[in-house]
Amino acid sequence: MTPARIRGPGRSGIDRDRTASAAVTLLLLALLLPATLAAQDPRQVALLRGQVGVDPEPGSLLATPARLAVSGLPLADALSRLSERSRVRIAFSPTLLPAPHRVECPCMALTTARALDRLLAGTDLGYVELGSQVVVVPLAEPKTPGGGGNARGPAHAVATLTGVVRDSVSLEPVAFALVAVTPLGSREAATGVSDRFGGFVVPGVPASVQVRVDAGAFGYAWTRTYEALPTTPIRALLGPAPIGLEGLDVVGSGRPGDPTSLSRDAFVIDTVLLRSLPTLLETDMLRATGVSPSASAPSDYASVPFVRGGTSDGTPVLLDGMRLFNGFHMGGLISAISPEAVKRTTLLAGSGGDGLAVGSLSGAIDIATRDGSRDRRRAAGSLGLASSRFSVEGPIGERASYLVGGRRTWLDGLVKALDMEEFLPNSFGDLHAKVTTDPGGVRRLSVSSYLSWESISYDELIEGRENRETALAWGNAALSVHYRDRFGAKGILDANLGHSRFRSDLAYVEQSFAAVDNRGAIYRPPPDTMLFGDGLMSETRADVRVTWHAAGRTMITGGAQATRFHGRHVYHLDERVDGGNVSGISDFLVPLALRESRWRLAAHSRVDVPLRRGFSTRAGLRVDHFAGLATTLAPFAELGYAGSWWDARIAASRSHQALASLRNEEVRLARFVAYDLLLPVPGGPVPRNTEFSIGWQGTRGGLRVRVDAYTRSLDHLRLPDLGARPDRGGVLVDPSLWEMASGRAHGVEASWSWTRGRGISVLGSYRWAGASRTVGSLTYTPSFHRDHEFELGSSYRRGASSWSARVCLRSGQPDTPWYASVTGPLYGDDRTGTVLLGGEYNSARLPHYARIDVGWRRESQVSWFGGGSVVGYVSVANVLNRRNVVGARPDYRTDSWGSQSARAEKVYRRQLPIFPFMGMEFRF
Amino acid sequence: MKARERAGRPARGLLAVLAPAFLSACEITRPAGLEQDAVSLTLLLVAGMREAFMLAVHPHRERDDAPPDISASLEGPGWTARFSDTRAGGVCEDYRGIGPATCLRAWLSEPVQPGSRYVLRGTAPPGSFTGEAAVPTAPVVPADTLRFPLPDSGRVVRIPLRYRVDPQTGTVLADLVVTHSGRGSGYWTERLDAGGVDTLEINQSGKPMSIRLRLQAIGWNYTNFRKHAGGGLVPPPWPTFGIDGEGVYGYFDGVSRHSPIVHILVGEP
Repeated sequence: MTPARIRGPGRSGIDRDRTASAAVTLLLLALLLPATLAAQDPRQVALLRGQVGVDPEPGSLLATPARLAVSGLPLADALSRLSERSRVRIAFSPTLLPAPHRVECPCMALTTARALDRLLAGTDLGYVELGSQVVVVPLAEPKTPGGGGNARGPAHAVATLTGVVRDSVSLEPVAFALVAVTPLGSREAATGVSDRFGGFVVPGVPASVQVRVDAGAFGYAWTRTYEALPTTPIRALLGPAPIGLEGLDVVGSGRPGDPTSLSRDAFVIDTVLLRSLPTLLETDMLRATGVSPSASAPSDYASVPFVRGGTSDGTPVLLDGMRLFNGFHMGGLISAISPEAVKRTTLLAGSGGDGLAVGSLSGAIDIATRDGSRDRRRAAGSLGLASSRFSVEGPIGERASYLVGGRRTWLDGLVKALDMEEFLPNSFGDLHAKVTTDPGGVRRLSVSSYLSWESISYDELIEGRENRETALAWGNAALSVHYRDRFGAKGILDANLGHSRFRSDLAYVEQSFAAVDNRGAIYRPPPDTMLFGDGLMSETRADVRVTWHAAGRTMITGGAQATRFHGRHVYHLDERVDGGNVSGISDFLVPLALRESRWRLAAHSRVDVPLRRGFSTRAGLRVDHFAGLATTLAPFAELGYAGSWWDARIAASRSHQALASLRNEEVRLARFVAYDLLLPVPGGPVPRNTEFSIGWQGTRGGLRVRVDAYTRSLDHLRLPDLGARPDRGGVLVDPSLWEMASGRAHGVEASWSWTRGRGISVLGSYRWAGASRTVGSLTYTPSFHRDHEFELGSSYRRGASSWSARVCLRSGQPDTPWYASVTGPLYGDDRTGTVLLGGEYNSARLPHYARIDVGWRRESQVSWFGGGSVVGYVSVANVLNRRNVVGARPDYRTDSWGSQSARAEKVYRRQLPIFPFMGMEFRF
Repeated sequence: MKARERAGRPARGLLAVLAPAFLSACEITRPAGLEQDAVSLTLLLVAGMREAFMLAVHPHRERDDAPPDISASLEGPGWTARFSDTRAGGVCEDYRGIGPATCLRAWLSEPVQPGSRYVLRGTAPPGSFTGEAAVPTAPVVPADTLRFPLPDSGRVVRIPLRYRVDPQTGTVLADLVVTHSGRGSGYWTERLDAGGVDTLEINQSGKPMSIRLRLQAIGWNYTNFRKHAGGGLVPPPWPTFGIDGEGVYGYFDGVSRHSPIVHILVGEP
C-alpha cells in the first residue's frame, strides 16, 4: 500500500519542552492532557487520502483477521463491530457515513482490509492505516457519472473551511449560525457553528470538489457554491429568508428569544427575549437573566441574580471579557449597562464547559456588546422614567465600525427642580464605546471601553445652626482589547487584554456655626468628619485562547490567563455618624483599612470529542496558580448522548477562586443593597466548588424542554461568624471576622420554550433547590434562598403591537421563628429589657411570593432622520399589587404615647408594590 | 455645592440614599402568633434585704388583659417564703414594659445573704417552673479614698479602678455622684468590666471635683439577660437566665452592694 503521508508537528517540539522548568511542564500538561483524549490529531487528518482494495503488509493492522460476520447492520454499527472483533481501532466520523446504508459481511476469514472493502463498497469512503488505528475517510475522487466508478482512483485531500457569518445589512457578526459544507453529489455535509464573533471552522471537507456552503440562523440564510473549497476565509452574509418554525429544527441552529436553544452550557438572553419581557423600570439585560431557573434574585430590588445557591461574588459579571464590579445603579435596582450596547447576555450556571475558562465558583454572567453598524450611521436610544439613553454607531471606512452609547438619569434634576425634600439627588450615568475592525477573514480587532458613575452630593443647612455636607461617589471603568486571528489551518486564536476598576469616594461632614465652651464663651468649632474614605477594586487581565477544529467535529480549546486583582478599602466612620444625614450607613459599612493584591496565573484546556453511536465527551483541566496561596487543579469531564430529538449528559467539574466577599448576606439590608467589596483570602486553602450535574434536553416541533439536576459542594468559603445574633451587624464585615465555612447546594431545574406561528411564544421554568451554609457549628439555610421558583413568561405579537406577561411564583425565603419574649426591668436603668427567643436559625419560611407583570409595546415605522422605528412601551410590575415580603423582624407595636404595647407583631419589608413604567425607544 | 436652607427635619438615612430601600419603606405587619399564656418572671434578690419582689408579665398579651396568676415560693438556707400578689405595688409599680404585669412580694426569714444560693418554685398558667440563683459577694475596693490630680489638658479625667469580684459576678455597676466645685452635682450608673480592672472617664471643667462611688455585683443570670436584651431573635441554645419551665421564662438573680462608699477626689488637696 502507499503509506499515508502525515504532516504534523512531530515530537521534537515536545522533546524540547521536556527540558523546560517544572512549572512550564505543569502548564503544558494542563494544555496537552485533554488533547490526548481526542480521537485523531487534527493536523494528521488534513491530508489523509482514503483507499480501498489495499493489499496489507504482513503484520500491519489492515492484515489483522477481521473475525466479522454481520448482516443487515447499519454501516456505523458494522464498523464498530469490526473494531471490536478485530481489536483494531477504527476511527470514523458518523456524519460522513450514508445514513440508510446497511451492509452484509460474512468476513470471518478475511483480513480487516478485505472486510473494509466489503463494508465500504458503494460509498465514497476509503480507509487508511494511521499509526495505531485505521481511519475511514472519503475517497480521493467522487465517482462521476460515466467515469467508470473506479474505486481505486486517486483519493481526495480534505481541508478546512473557515469564515465569518455576518448580518447582510449591518455586517454585525452572527453567533450560533449553522454552517454546512456539502460536496456536490453528496447528501452528507460537514458542519460547524459560528462562535460569539461569528467565526466558524468546518474541518474534514474534500478540498478539490465542488461544494455548496449553507449558513443559516433563524429567519436568515445564505448559500454559495464554490468550484473548489476556498482556501481563504469566506464571509457569509445572512439575509432574511423566512423559515417555517419546523424548519428551525431542521437547520438546528438557535432561535432568537429562546434562551435554551443557543448553547447547551448556558442560558442566553438576546435582544428579542429581552424585549418580550415586561420592563421593570428600564429594559435591563442583567435582570432578564432571572428567567433562568439557575438564577434567583434575592429580592425585587436586586438586578443581579444569585446562581445555584452561590452568591454574587462567585458569579462575575463580564463585559466583553472584563469583570465589572458592582455593575449596577441605585443600589442594585437597575444594571449599569445600557441595553442598546448589548448583543446578548449569557448566564453560565456551572464551572464546567464554557465556564472552565472563567474559573469562578458559581458560573458567570457574560455580556457581549454589539459591533457598530457597518452599513450606515444609526442612532438609537430611549426615554424612560429614570433615565434617557442614546447611542450612535456607524462605519469607519470599509473595514471598521464604531458604537458609542450613554445613559444619564434625570432623577437628580427632577428632585432639585421640584424641591422634593424626601428624595436625595441621586445622579448616575454610564458610557460605552467600542471600535471594531476586521481586516479580513476571521481576523478582527476590537477595543471596548466602559464608564459608569453614581453620586449623591448636596449641602444642607439646619435652621442656620449647622451645615451638613454630603458627597458620596462611586463608579466603574473598564477597557478591553480583543484580537482574533487564524491559528494554523483549523485554529482560531483569541487574545484579550483588559483592565477594570471600581472606585468609591465617601465623605460626610457636619459643622456647627456656634458652640459654647467650658467657660461659656461662644466659638465656631472645627468641622466634624463623620464619614470619609475611599475604595478601589481593580482587575487587570491578559487572556489568550486557541480553538482547534479537528475532523470529526473534535474541538480542542487551550488558553492561558494572567489576572491581577488589587483591592484597597479604607473607610472611617465616626460613631456619631448615624445621627446625621447618612444615618443607617453603619448598617451597611464598617470602618475598614484593607489593602491586598494578588496574581492569578492559569492555563486551561478542553477537548470536545464526538464518539460513536451518538455519544460524545468533553473533558478539560484548569491549572491555577494563586500567587502566595496555592496551585490548584480543576478538572472537568462530561459524557453526552444525542438521540434523534433529544440529548442527555452527565458532568462533573471543579473550580477555585481566591476572591471573597465582605458581604454578610444574612442581614436584612443585604436584600436591598447589592454593593459588594471583594478581597483575596489572606491565606490558603482557596475557596473551592465541586459540582456534579446531569441533564436532558429535547425538542419536538415548537416545544423545547431542558431539565438539569445538580449537586454542589462549596468548600473553604470565608463567611462571618453569625454568633448568637445572626441577623445583626452591617452588610459589609471586616474580614478579620471571617471564619472558614462551607456550603452545599442541590436542585432540579426545568425550563421550556414553546413557539407557534401567529406570534405566540411561551417561556417557562421551574426550579426546586436546597442550599445551606456551615459556619463553625451552625448549619443554616441562607436567607436569600427559596426552595421553589416558577416562572412563566409569554408574549403575543400581532401587527406592530406585542403584549407580554410574566408570572412568578416562589416559595418563601427562610425566616427564624419567634417563640417567646422575656421581659423585665434593667437594673440600674429606667428602661425595660426584652429578650426575643427564637427557634433554629432560618428554620421557618416567609409567606410565599407571587407576582404578575404585564407589558405592551408598539412599534411604529417613521421616516424621520432617514427612516427608523419608534417603540412605545408600558409595563406594570406586580399588577395585582400582591403584598410580597422580603425579610422580617419581630417587634412590638408602639402606642400613641410612644411606649410599647403588648401587641407582638412580625414586621415584613415589602417587595415591589404595583408599579407602572413607561417609556419610548427609538432607532434610526 | 450650593447649600439649601431647610427647616430641621428627621435625618434621612442611608435607606433614603439607596433607592431600593427607600422603595421598600412600606412595611407590612402581621400578628406574631405567639403563645398567649406565656409568662415572663423577673426576680433580683438584693443582699441585705428581707423582702423579695418578683415581676410577672404576660408578654404576649395586650396590656389591658389580666396579669398572670402566679403561685410561687422562694427557698433560702433552711427556710421557705411564699410570694403574694401586691396588686401592682412595691418596686414593680414603675414597670413600663410590654404586657399586663403584676408584682409579687415575699417576706424572707432573714436578709438575703451574699454567697448563698436560693431556689424559686412555683406554678404559672402554662405550667410549673423552677429557678436557681447565687447572690454574688459585693465587690471590694482596696481603699476608701482615692486622689488624682487634675489633668493639664483634655476634656475628661481618667480614673483607673481596681476591685475584687467573686466568680459569681457577671456584671459590675458603678453608682457615681460627681460634684464639680461650684457647678453642682450629677449622678448616674456605669457598667464596669467584671474582670476587676476598668477606667472611669468623667468630663471635667478644669476645676476640682469629688466623686462618690459605690460598686454593685450582679450574677450571671441577669448578665445574660442584659446581654441579649434589645436585639434580634436569639436562636437556640438559649442562654440561661435562671428560670426554667414550660412557657415560663425570665431571670432570677442576686445583687450585692459594696459598702462603704469610696470617695475619689480630683484636683483637691
